[in-house]
Amino acid sequence: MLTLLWALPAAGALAAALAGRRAAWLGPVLSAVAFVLSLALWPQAGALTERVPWFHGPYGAAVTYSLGLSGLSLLLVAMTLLVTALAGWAGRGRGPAFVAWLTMLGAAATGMFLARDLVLFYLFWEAMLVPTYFLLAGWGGPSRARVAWKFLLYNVGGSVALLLGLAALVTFGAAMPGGPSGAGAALPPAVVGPIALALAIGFAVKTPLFPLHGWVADTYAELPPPAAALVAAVQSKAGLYGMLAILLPLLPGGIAAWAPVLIAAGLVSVLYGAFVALSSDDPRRLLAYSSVSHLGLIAVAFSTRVGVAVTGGVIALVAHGLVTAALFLLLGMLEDRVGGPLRLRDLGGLARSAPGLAGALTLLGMAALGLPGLAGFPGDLLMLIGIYRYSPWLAVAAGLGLVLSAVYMLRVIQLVLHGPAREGARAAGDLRPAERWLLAPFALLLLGIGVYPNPVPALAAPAVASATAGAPVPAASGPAPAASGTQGGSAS
Amino acid sequence: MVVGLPFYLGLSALLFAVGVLGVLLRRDPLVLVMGIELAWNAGNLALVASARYYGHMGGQVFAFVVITLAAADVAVGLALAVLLGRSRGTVDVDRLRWLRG
Amino acid sequence: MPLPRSAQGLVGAGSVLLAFLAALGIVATGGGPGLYPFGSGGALTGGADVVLGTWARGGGLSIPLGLWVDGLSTVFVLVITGVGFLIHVYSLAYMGGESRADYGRYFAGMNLFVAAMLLLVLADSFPLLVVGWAGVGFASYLLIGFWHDRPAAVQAAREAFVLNTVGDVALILAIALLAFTTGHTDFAGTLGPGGLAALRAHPGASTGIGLLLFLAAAAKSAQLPLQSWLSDAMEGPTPVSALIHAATMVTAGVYLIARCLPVFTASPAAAATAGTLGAVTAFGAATVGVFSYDIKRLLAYSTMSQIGYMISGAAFGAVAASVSHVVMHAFLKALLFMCVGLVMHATGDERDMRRYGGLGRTLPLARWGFLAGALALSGIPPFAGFWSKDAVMGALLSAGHLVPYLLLAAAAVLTPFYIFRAYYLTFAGEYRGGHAPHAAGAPSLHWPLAALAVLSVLGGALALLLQHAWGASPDWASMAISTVLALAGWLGAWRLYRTGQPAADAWTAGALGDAVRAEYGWNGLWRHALVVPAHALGSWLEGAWEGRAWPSAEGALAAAAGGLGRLLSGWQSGLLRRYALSMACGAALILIYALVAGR
Repeated sequence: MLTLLWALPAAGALAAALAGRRAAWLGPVLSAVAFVLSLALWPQAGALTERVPWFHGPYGAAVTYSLGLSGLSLLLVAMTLLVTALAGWAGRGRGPAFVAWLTMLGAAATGMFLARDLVLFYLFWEAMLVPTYFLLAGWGGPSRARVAWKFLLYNVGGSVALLLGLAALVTFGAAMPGGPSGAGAALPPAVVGPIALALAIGFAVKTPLFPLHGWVADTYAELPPPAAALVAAVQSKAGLYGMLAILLPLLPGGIAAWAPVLIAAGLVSVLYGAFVALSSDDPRRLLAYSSVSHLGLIAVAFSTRVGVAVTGGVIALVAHGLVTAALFLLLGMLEDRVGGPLRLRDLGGLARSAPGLAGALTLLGMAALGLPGLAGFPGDLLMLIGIYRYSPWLAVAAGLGLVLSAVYMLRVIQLVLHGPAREGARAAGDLRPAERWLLAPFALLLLGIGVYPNPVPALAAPAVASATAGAPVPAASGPAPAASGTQGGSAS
Repeated sequence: MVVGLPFYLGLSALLFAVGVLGVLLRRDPLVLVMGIELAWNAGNLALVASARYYGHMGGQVFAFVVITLAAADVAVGLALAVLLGRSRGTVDVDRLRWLRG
Repeated sequence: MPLPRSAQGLVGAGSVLLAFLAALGIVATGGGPGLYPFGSGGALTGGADVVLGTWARGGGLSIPLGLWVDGLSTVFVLVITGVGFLIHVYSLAYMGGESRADYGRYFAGMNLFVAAMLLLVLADSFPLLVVGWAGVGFASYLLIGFWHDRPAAVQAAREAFVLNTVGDVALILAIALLAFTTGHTDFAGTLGPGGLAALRAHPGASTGIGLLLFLAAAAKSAQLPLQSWLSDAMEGPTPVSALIHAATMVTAGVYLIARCLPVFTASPAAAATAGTLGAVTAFGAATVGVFSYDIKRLLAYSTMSQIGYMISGAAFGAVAASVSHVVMHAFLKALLFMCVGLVMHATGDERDMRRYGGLGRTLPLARWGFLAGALALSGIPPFAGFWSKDAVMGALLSAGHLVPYLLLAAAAVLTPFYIFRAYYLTFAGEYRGGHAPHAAGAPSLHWPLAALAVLSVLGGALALLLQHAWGASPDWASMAISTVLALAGWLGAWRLYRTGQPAADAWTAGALGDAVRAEYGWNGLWRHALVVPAHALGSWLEGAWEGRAWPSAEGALAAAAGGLGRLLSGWQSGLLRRYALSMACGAALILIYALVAGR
């Protein structure tokens, strides 16, 4: 059953690749079927596993084909499949090979989120690289060759670090948390720090965090929007998912040692990304930097290992995926109208000529900047509450990131929609019904999560618990949750 | 005087050195293959002698493996030499350097 | 396809009327405005918590999803829906000139505004309050920038949204600190007896919470230091200004401070800071109002000034006086804006009072309405504003907060002066504009105005009832002083301006006037201290760093890798015999190592 979740889109991809244009619709449709299947599995989240012994490695390490559907996996898998289906549908016009690679990327990401074996996780992780590379090299913009190389070098570099770390873990007998054999391996204390660092570097490249972010803006700027939607929404979550599902529960000591570095990198990402996004003129680059900023905040939240912050991080993970995917798809629709890559300064006045598009952009932009009532807010709120518990000044700096995100998102909205209509946008028509239907699921989910976010943290609770187990509770200045019951706490 | 293990090993070392020197100093691929054969067989001699000395059959078994490998090695090496001679007109290994980095 | 105009208006105004009726239903079923929310110790005790579910739970923190009904929220709900309904009705005709799509967009924004504000005052936890809080900000963004073809409106909308986001983040940080200190985020846990005990045990944290809450309130209510958006927000349609100033938006800050009274009880330092800054805003904004030429900006400064009274009163614990002033101010400020709307319709959207004059003859309703509003705003007995404004000042005086009291007293002199200056310049004398003014006649413009005029004249009774129910007693000495102050201000305006001659206003020109009208350079300060450096930093990072330095670092790394490759490729000579030699040497080295290490 779980295998179907990634095998269905993979089959769709193969069909599209082999049978050509006639079968291109199979990719998105099978992804949609898998999405529905993942929703149907919701009641069984946390209980469903699949396991087949595969081969024995050296040092007695047994590699199994082992999948599991935790609540966290379900969230990310469902998001991945939904984005795959919709992005694949939006990218049909670019030919069956495009759809095939796109769906393949979705299948690999789905497998990665389901894997419950470290080696299997790595296999799916690497499998994500290939489609992205070909999407870049085949359908990218004018400097696609250079950018594809850059993407590959950065990510393979990260993968090497990840591979070293995972290999060391396997060698020392550790297993993926939530997997069949449990995580109960005692690692020699001396290796915990280096392994954690290697994993963290691998995850940080994919996310990406500040000093390792060089590939992301170029990649998003070159990828065609539907592919960028999937890469930005899903592939960037791989690093943070790995952090939450592997690094935190398996190496709590290691993460504690490296937390200051990770938090510093995350915080610099938050501010650096936001400031650069402030003056980007290319909306794709702007979204890339805004992703660096938002995902940096999630990395900070995870690194603090405060339960509230990690919970908020998971909500933000889902919200960011949905918002980014929808924004890239919308960007694609805009580009179709203008006929090429966008310059923000050349646009304007679309609110008059295309009110539906204006409404969509306003809604998505507001969700991206974390407007309460939409999906971005609950995550931001819980993260700030948790981060505050770790360090007040860190929370203040993170709050500055939120203010900046309001500034740059408003800048986009206003430059595109308001003011007098410019040359570049004069001919733009409003959204067609098909395009509205494409965006509608995102809008509904963003509103739904914003109004009633609790299902997300409820699903993610076991993962959060295992990720924060044993984390030191920061010395509270106040009596912790017991305060409401006791009356006489006035003596200090 | 008993001819003991040290003599066999000494001879083996001598043969190996001759083989290696042949590989290093000659430019004719045929002689190169001969040098390699000599080195293989020096190893064989050491294996067989040690097997006898320790009373353990592993060495002899291994020698058989080596003999097979050596035969294959010669076959491949000679075939390569013939092909090279046909396609490039020369078999001088110093002139066959288009794999230079 | 947009609905027909009548249906849009029916839905827009009717939904608010239904909300008002529902609010009356709450009152009828016992959730009356008479319930004072705070117990004797200052903790939040009275109130019905209607829990609907769990909004989010994780990491030991549980945030409920529910509504909180007590006297404070009921009063706000009544004002929001009641005054909001009148403003909607007024809008029906006022916005009649817009296209059908824009007409619908307008009412959508207005209804969102009211809905968000209702959520704000009815939420039973801080996170839910923030949802309403930011929803109000978003709706104001949509409406201030309603005419999105006008660069000034777009700019004003952005300024309002960004400053409000600063407040949102301050509020979120306050929630974080509250959760840290009390372990809860809902009202019962943070502001109830247990929460108050925890707050009292940590005065430092309480002060931090109080200051962050004040910063949030300052952003929403246009108080120092985040006040500048409100005067620019006048770029929106005039009924929007009425809604922002009377029913929704700016009163949210007062609600927040009043709701969080326990925090300010626990931290006198935060109370003193918030109360004093509120009083400073009350006085400073009044001085700017004295010099304003733009009548809408003048009303904006007047609002900032009056909200300053409310914030100051609420922070110092005079919740009853402060909230009654919210109600009175809602009546009179909505009325004033409606009158200004009529004036602007008649004069072709002119806002400069120097081009008004003599409009009392053309627009008698606007004139009498404005007069009622001005009397109420001035705090002249027995009109509405007197009973609440004086209650705030009396509470400060009797509690001994002398500096804020003196500031408010000075503002109380300036208030009648500037509002009657506006009244005389607009309605007295001769018309100074270009085209002849023409009166607009739709009844839906007139009867909401008349209703509010009646409330502005007689509404003081409601203020007294509320204060009585919440246990605040009138202070006769303070009333006498306030009456003298208000009459003095009016007298000054009457002497200077009663003829409506523009020459009387000559003294407001000049360098001093310019400086004051520029809000003492405050906007420029923000722009030059923060906005410009932030954008400069952004474009430097984007251009010099991300555009050049980073790629060249990557290039250097690539070049280093390439150089190393070329260096090593020298070994790859293609000479078979050299490879063999390397192998032999390597084998020899391994052998030697094995011998040495094996020993």
